[in-house]
Amino acid sequence: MTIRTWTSPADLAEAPMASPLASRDEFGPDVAKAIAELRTAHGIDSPSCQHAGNAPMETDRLRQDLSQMLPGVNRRGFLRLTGAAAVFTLAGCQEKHPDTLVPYAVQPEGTTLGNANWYSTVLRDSGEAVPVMVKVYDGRPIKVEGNPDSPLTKGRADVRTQAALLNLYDPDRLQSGPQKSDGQAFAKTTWSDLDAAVGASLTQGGVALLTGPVDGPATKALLAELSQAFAGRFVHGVWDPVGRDVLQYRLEKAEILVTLGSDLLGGGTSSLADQVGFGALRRARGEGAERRTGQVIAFEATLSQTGAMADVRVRVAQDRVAYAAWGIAELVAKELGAVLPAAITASLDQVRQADLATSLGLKPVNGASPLAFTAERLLACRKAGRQSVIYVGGLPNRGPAGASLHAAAEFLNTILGNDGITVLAGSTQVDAAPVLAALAAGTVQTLIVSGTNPGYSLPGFAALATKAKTVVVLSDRLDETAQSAQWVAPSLHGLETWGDAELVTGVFALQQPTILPLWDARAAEESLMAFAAAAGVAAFKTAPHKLAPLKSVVSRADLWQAGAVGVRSWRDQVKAVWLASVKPLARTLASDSSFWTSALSVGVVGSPVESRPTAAAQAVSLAAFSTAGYQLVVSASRALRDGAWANNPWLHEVPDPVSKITWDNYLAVSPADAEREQWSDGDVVEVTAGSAKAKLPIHIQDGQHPGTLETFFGWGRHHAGAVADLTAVENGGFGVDVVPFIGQASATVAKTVETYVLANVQGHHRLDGREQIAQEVTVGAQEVGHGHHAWINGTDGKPGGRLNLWGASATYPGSKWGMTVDLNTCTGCNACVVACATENNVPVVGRDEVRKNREMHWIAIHRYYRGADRLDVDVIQQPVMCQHCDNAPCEVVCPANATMHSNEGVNLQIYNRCIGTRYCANNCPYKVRRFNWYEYASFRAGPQNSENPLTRATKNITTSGTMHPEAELAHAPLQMMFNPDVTVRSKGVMEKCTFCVQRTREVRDLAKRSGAKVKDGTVTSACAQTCPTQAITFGDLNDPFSAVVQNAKAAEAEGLAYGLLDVELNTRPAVTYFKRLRHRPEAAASHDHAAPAQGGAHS
Amino acid sequence: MIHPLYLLKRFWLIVALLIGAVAYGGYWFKNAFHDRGYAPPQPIAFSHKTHAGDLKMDCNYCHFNAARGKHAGVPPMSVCLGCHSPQGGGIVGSKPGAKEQIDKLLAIAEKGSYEENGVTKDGGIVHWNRVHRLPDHVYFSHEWHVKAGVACQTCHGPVQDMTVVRQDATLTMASCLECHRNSNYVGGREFKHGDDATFTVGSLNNEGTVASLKPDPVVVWAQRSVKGAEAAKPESHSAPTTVAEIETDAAKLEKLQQSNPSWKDLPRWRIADLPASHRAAYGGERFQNAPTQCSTCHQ
Repeated sequence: MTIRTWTSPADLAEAPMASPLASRDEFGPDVAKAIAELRTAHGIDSPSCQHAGNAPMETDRLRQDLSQMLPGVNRRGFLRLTGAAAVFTLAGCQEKHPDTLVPYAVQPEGTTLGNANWYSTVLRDSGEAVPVMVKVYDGRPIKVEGNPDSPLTKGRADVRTQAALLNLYDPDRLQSGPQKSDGQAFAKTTWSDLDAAVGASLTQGGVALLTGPVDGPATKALLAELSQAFAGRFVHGVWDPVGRDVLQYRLEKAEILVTLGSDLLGGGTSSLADQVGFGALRRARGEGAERRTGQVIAFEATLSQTGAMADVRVRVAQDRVAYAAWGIAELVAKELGAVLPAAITASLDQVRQADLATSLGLKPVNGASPLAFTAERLLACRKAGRQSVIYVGGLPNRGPAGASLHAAAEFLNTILGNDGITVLAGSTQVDAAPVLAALAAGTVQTLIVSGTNPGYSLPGFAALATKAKTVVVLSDRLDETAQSAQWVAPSLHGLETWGDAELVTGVFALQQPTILPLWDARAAEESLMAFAAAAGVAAFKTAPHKLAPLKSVVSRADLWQAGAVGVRSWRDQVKAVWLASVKPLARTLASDSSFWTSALSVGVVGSPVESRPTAAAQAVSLAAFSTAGYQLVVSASRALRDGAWANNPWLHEVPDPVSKITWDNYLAVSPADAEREQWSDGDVVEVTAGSAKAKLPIHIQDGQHPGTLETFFGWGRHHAGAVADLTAVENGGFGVDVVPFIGQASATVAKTVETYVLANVQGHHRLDGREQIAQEVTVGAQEVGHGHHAWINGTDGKPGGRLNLWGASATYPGSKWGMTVDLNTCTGCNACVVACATENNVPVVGRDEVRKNREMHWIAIHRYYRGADRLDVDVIQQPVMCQHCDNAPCEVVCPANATMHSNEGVNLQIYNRCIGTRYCANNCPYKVRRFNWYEYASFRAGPQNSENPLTRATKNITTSGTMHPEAELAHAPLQMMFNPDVTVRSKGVMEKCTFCVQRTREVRDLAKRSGAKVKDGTVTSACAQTCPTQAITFGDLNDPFSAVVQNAKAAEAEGLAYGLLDVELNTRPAVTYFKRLRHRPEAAASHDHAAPAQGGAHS
Repeated sequence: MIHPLYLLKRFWLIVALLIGAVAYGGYWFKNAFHDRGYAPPQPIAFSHKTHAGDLKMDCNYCHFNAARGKHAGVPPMSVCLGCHSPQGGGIVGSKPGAKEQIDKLLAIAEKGSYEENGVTKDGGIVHWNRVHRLPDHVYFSHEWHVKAGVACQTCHGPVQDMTVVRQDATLTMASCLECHRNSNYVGGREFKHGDDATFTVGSLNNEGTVASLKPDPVVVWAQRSVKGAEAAKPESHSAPTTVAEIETDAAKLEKLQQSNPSWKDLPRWRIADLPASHRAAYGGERFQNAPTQCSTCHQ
């Protein structure tokens, strides 16, 4: 069995091991010969030289010989002259642009120009509340971080939370105030007309309110009040197309995670807390003999993000996952004396021939049945007095189809003693059924839809909505649902308004505005209160009082203020509810005012209440196997989730963690099916499931079970905005709407003649012909650090006696910044990529540019496959950012001295010196340098679809120099998002990771100002700060007590640390990688360290 | 046949022309890369000569941000109105033309907007024309320069003599290096990285600099460091931390000041720090943030 590693199918065709030197003939035979002669003459390749180092005399002679080979005018001299000439020519072109300084009227207390303030608040990711801290510069939020005071998310944020700013500054939001529709088109109306009309409608007939998930105490109180006000005729429903997990999990307390046909990390139903817990599960913990890491076992048909992280991944057809689950349950139950429901036993016996695993077509794990292996691991874990988690969730397992699977997980969690420890009761959830039933019955006079978009994600909703007399939509844009409304009340983005959330049972978070409303809109809750007040509900009325007018930053419109029109304000409502109901729970003796102040400041109050879940799912007999055709799996998009993020270019441009495809939806098929059906990547096929049809491009997904098709929900929105439109089928993209496919289990596929080039970043920025890139260690059943075979390489950074161009390396007397990246916990979730983009003003380049390898992300997450064939693969996710080599190959080739080391060991790029030769990028072995081919910052989604320059110009967000700055701002609120501490790069310069040098500066200033020393952990890069699984650590390598040094030391002691390409190239990178641990039994031969994938690893 | 003398004359003429051209070219080239001397007209003819020169007001009185943050900042309207509005100081000025300018200022504050070159400038604020501008890629913090005792005039020239503010220094990289190379400033010859004792600058030595950097409670509270680490969290959350609530928490502040008397001497611009007699003038809705250093008035 040959085990090979590949990142794209092309690799499999290549020779498995390419000798890096022999294959390189970049300058032709003459130069190669000359170099060879020089090497021989100076004995560079001789063993003595290797070991003794280069004697000074040898080096001198080498230099002498080299200088003779160089032509008279050297490159630097030539460029200096041409550069000077260019400067003379251009000197006269400079012109002072008039610029305006607009001070504050009254500078708010605590504001210092040029220093940021942080506010704690809550962001919602399609209903899930994420507690965050928002960095605000001069009243403009520019960066979101997780709230460190949150007990479960621990200061971490996920990819969508990081990208949320783009939704705030989205120019496609409704800018022109409330709208009225005559059935054909929308026209601007006034708030008073809107309130009067809706109020009048509310006074009679049924009232239906459809919202997104509701969890905050103040929001709940508001709903209760509304329900009371319209007693007997009010119905509330929650529409959440993806659906959140009903249970809560504490993965950090678990030893084993078993996912059954579910994607815990990318499925969109689990919370950020689960990702944080997953990181804790994966990390090695305990001391001495107790040292161990958690194990992840995945049973699945499609390669999911969790499956990619699994130690043991068992491929099983989608309709047999439930059988496998109950198969495990059967074995565990037998051992623990529990009894399976009779219906289940009957179903299992029906398919069982000799052995259930064989009947289900499961491949053995190390010779044993995977079911027996899993059961044995779970039992061993229980015997040791530890817990596990059996996880089922996600879109494909919703509804009746997943009932028996949910029941299996519940059964296992109960008998294994996980309930109440690692598996906890969640909040009860309302669903949309009451509203839909009331609509269907025709009893609804007024339908109000707020914060959810059933018009897109609920087929048939538009028809149902017509049964209501008045339809009001509270939305931040004219979305699909708004199309069937008579009235649209623009609502605010979460960062503009008040609110609250219950993160998990017992933990409350407060949401406060971080910016004045950009446009004439109002909080959805205030809209509801205004409607009710107009309907005569006294509870929401207050005496109107004169308020100083608030002026929006962008449109300069006077903003609606509740107090001025005699409606109770939402802020007062939130404050009152918090003081009345949350303060008692917080058990504080503080006064109301100081409780409110500290709640606003900290953002999170309370501690988790953990209770055992109550049995919910009913075990039903298992559905029979399907025998023919393809099984269709519709998963939530790992970036766009339920489509609420469809207009966010950052989320379109981050590559999918598994397929690495950007900007388009696709149909993932198994390599086995592709071979049989002669499909290749990019073939467009027509998928038919039931009455639904769609054309989708093929992506051959390694690791996918034969006979399984996977596609993603969240695409194909037609009223989301300009960016979503770019992906539309009409515009040449493949952002295909697969909502009609949801609930369809089987599909047929017909090939068309069309082909399409998916913008897949895998294979971009390849570390060509190099070895030992992504490394892993199989630890089997043994504990970490004991007896496993690890690669020993020169991770001390000083491999002896190697050829070194740099002479004595510089020393760094102050700080020396460094980073560790743990491949064992990196899930490839892209949170770091977007965090980096926000922090460093990294532009979006668009699909066309991505196809040309021009994505600008400073962190590339490379995905490696390894295995004997393409069906059963191990995956490693490896984030690669600038390694900040001490011996930096980029620095020596720059003719302009534009890239150089700082005195803190950071390799910096000086943009105004850069002349765009791109020598540095060519010489960078890690391929982490990015070149600005266009003025990317000027485009919202890259210069794509740019057949003619005119189209290109219309997509331009800036119109520098042609408009008055204020008018420009009104057209381009996206500019407000730029981090003022980081230069916005222009066309023709190189850029790359700077280790967030501006943050070092900022923290230093902060520490100096308060008279403190810079503590470890306060200086951290954007990627390290946000990483949900804490795979990245940043800190000072000169501080022996810093986390980064401690982590590296611990990993080194276990032989897990390595510097990327350090042994090969002696670059001495400042980033240390920790090898991926593969926690599973494996045949003895694979333990031999010559055999693992690293041997043939090239990306 | 041309007369030799004529040629000779012509020769010198050509030489003179050449010298002239080279001299002019040199002059032009020297000034082509900066905006030294740029002095745009301002919507209100505010005279630094009157305020900083004749009245000897501290620069920090209006540009209070300079000692606190990266930008010196243009003072908020409340600072102007603190002295010039009828409710504040009511100062109308004695110099010719001063009254018109002050009336214009008050009109802008009152009306909420004004027209200039056909563009409406609103917000009740004067929209000043920017004079000094550093390129986008430059990191420069006023705070540390001011705190280190570098005089404003070092870079901004004799502002106290300027009726119309102009850019006095080239503000090129060379002008930064002029100081930083030739002294013990950070980056200077005598300065050893990591050894603060070798850092002497301006009128203050290192000890003086360190002594002047007392913890500023406003900064500590309002900008509590949350960056990524529990280590940086404040010890207790019970202290008032948000901006809006601090000012109302006068009792807490007084207590705080009692516990650390040295904080009293630091420039404060909160109402709570002012004696009651001053709160009427500065405690109104508009003027609450006038930067008050006692010595500005009580010299």
